[in-house]
Amino acid sequence: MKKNFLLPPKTEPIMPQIEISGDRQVIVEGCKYILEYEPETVKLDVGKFNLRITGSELTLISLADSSVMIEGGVLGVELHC
Amino acid sequence: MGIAKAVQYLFGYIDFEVGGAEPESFMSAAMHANVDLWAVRKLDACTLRARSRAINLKTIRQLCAQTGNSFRLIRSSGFPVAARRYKNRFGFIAGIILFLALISYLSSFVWRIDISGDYTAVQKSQILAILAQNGCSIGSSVASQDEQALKYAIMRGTTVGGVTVNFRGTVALIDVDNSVQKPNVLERTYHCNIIAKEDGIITDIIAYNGVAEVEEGQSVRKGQLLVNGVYDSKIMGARLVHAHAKVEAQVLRTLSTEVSYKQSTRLYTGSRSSYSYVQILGKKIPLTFNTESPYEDYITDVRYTPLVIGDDFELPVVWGQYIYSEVQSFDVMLTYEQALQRARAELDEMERVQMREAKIQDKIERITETDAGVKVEYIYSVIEDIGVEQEIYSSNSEQ
Repeated sequence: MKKNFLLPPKTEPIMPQIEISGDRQVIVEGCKYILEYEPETVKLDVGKFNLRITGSELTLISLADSSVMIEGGVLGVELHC
Repeated sequence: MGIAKAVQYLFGYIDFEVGGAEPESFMSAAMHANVDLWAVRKLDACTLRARSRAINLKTIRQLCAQTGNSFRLIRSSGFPVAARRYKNRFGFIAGIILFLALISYLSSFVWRIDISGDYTAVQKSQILAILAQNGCSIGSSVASQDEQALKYAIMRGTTVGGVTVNFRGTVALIDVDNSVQKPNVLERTYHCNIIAKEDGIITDIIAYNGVAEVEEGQSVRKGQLLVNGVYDSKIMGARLVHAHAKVEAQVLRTLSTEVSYKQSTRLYTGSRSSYSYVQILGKKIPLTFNTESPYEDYITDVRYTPLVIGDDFELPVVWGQYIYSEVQSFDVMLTYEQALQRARAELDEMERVQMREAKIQDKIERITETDAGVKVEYIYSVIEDIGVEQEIYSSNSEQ
């Protein structure tokens, strides 16, 4: 069905959106829970998997309506199923 | 970023700390409860500090309780917090409301008229007069102004090539542009001849539309047909047109004045009386009850000082004074030479004003002495356009 309508995967509502700007900012949309928040690690539950962002001096700039904006020195973004 | 801070201040915000074994659980709960958090920082393993809208304070307390965390309010800031401080100070609130109402009321009037661009002193006074005629003067309502109507009124009533009219707040900005020639808009919806408006000798005739009926060097009388609006072409036959032509002719102009030997002159007696007034937004308020002159024969002198802020910001508030100076009339007898000199001075001034744009070919002076005084005439031979339109009424045209 999806193939017939040629819907791009981005429009699927259940999939989280992750936007990485250089090594300074990560924006995650579709976050369900914040599992861990430390200046070096932020762990988020985004539904099907967990997202682990590692770096230095990580700050949650804003949390609003399942969107999380993280700023700091981003070193890695890992997906854990 | 500045706008975000302004919005934060406007709606008010709180800084708070959440402490507990798992402060992350509070963040997840806040996200699910649609409570926005900003600037979340972890102070230590069990404490985090964040900022949120002041309106969310109650919800945040509840969320902390639900998730087993402690809540500590660090500070409340913003306009609602500041306003709450003054909620019992009715005089202060009334003052602010009055101030805002006054600002709003005063902003609805024209405070200043700025004329910029290249204009002559005559054009400036004409523009100000036309603006006043059309309801745009200091103290008039801004909302009632029609920029386009004012623009057309200025274009019709003056010789300026172009003009723009804009209102910026309480200031009327008039930008005059004389670098372009004023467009000559001709009304050509009717048929007409061109006839002579006075007697003269034709010096030049160019018919742009219509048929010339006179030629150079020919004498014409007032009302004589100069350019015919009935155009007879071989292909289309006779048809009516709007005759349009330049018809220059040599005509006579006379300026005259009479100065009598017996002249009345007025001299100041030295007695003076005055009253002061304040003019706000064009409305004059006398500062005394009696505003009449105590003298029978007097000269009125008006002095006023506008209130200016800085170098050039003129407020529509003027302090003025009417000064009545008593005068007494005396009769003086002039000699023939003095009367002649005064008559010539008057005629020279009349010539400067009335003949400014005339092409003068020749000028003679005629002096007539009477029992009462001296009569002087300047008789000019000038070249000017004597053509004037005369509509042709046909059976098809509206009567």
